[in-house]
Amino acid sequence: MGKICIGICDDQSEIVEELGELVKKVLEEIPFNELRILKSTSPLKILREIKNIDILFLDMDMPEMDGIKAGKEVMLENPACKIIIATAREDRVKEAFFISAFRFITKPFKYEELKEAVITALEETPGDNEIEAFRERVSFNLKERDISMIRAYNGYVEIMVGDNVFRKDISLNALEEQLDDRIFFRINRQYLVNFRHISSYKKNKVVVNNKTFVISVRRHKEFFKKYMEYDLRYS
Amino acid sequence: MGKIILVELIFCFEIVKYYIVYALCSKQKVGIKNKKVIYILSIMLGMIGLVAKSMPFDGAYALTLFGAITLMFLNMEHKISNRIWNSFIIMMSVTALDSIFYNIYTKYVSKDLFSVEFDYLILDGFFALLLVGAYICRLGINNYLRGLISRRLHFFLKITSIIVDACLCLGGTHIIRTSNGEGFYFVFGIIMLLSAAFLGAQIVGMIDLNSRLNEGINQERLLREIQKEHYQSLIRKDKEIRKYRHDMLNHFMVIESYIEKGKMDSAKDYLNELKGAVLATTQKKYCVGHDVIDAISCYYLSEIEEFARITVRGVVSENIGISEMCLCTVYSNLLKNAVEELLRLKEQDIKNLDLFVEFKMGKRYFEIKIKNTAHHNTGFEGMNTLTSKLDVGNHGIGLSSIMYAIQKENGAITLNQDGGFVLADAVIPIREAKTMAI
Repeated sequence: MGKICIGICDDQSEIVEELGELVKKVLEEIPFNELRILKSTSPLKILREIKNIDILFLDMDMPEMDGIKAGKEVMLENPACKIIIATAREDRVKEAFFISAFRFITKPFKYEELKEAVITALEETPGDNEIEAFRERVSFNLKERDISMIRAYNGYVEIMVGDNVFRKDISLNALEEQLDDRIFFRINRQYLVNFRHISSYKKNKVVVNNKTFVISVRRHKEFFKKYMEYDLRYS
Repeated sequence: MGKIILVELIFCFEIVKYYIVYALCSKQKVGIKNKKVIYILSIMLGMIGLVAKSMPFDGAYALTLFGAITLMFLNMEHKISNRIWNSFIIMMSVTALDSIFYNIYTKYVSKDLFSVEFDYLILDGFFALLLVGAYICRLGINNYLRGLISRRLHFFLKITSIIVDACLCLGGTHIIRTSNGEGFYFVFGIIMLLSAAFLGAQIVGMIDLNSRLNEGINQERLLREIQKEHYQSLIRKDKEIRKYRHDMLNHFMVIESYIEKGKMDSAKDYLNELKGAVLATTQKKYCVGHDVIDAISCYYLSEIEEFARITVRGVVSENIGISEMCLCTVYSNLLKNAVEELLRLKEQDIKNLDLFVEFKMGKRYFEIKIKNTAHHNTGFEGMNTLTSKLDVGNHGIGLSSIMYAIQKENGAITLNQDGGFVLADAVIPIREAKTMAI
């Protein structure tokens, strides 16, 4: 794995230290090129560094700033940051939902629970890879997550990113093998769609970018399975 | 004068018959629901008395029937359309029974024993007395017997429906044969056969609907019970917290005195003891953010807390977009099965029992995963696995209820057995984003 930055924020320094030690112990088993653990009792200090933080352990009851309010700031500044609420306040679980908290772990911390939360949070988010494509003979590197769909032609494909259309001289079969199958799915012979850009799905039809596409009958079951997995794990 | 009294008595018997039949069918008490009925009854009694003098008996009898049905119609508490349907069906039923009694009476009792008017009086009186007896019996039956009779009654009603259907088939076939394919009776026979087919379909639909309704009612009751238990446990916990808050001051004073005297070990021991006491007496509460799910978790998991390792994980929005009934049916049945399996294993002194519950919420789907230690079931067939409980009549419907609830929401469920564990995985589309159907 590459570099990772984990933030720990709790108004009690003892808790910060305890959590820091536990996280270090969990991460000993996973090789990283670069590992940073940012510890602070001040949510404001953590928010200054938030753009670099991948996973944040956040307490709920902090005198300087409430954890939910801090979480909302995190969502604005760094939506990709995964928030793990670490608190004794079970009664505030519902509020964690408003900040799309990844996990909710309670004090006193259990090592196994913490380990599971960290390892799951570290799972790579699909769609970060890039592919090269061309528009008007100019080369572009497109992030997989930005591609809405790909259409096959004779010997080349057209890649739709928003309203823009890019071209790549490769067969759809070959390109399909390169792309992340967690977010892309071949719905029929001609089209590959990105789950992230599906606005609606009814019976055997999907709508992507306000256009409706038909899923072939033999791929329908597989599509449902993969789409559901994507929705539950990565959306 | 004698004729007037006779007709008035027949009218009274007809009123009794129709009122009691309606009360028996609708499971209500006999009574005047609408006071205007009394005035109309008085007027009708007067009118029938006047008319009976000058009309032939058949006409007067028809009038009594009409009067009785009208009074029953006016006394009902439904909207007009339902009253019309009910009146028509009850009229057909009573007429059919009247016809049975009349045919038996004329076959086995001498035809010329009494006049026609007295024959009608005797028959009506007899029928009315029977109905009064049945009504009194129904009132007198206690709850236990009512339950027993109710179950038998349902079985009896199903059998009766089948017999009626069979009679329609046979009657229609016989009429068609005897009509030689011509005339009104041929058409009538065809209509009877069509009615038999239609009635058969209706019976099947109603039996299925009835069982689904019963299942829904049972689930609703269970959900209410679970929620009640959950709220009571919250109240108990609140009381405990208040008590501890009150006692905390004393504990702080003790710890403070230990520290002032330099007895750090004693202070640590006291703190550990206090921590242990708090954890031991505080009832564990499983919380994912959704009241129904939390209530069900607390309700079932309290039974296995002491001997099983339980993990409940996930954060679930209160406005989940899935009906409470579906959630209750699926989660409570899956969890109940898992808990019962762990209890069975505990009885066999098996150690290291695990239960893992996870909830995942996406933008369009909601997933419930339950994994529990289980004995290896050689008869395991996923969602088609038969119950292992001995009283099969009262068990084994859990999985079918789950299937029905899931299919109704266009979701999916899998049940697998692997390496000493059973894993149930249910996925339900979320309503706001429910645009799919499998």
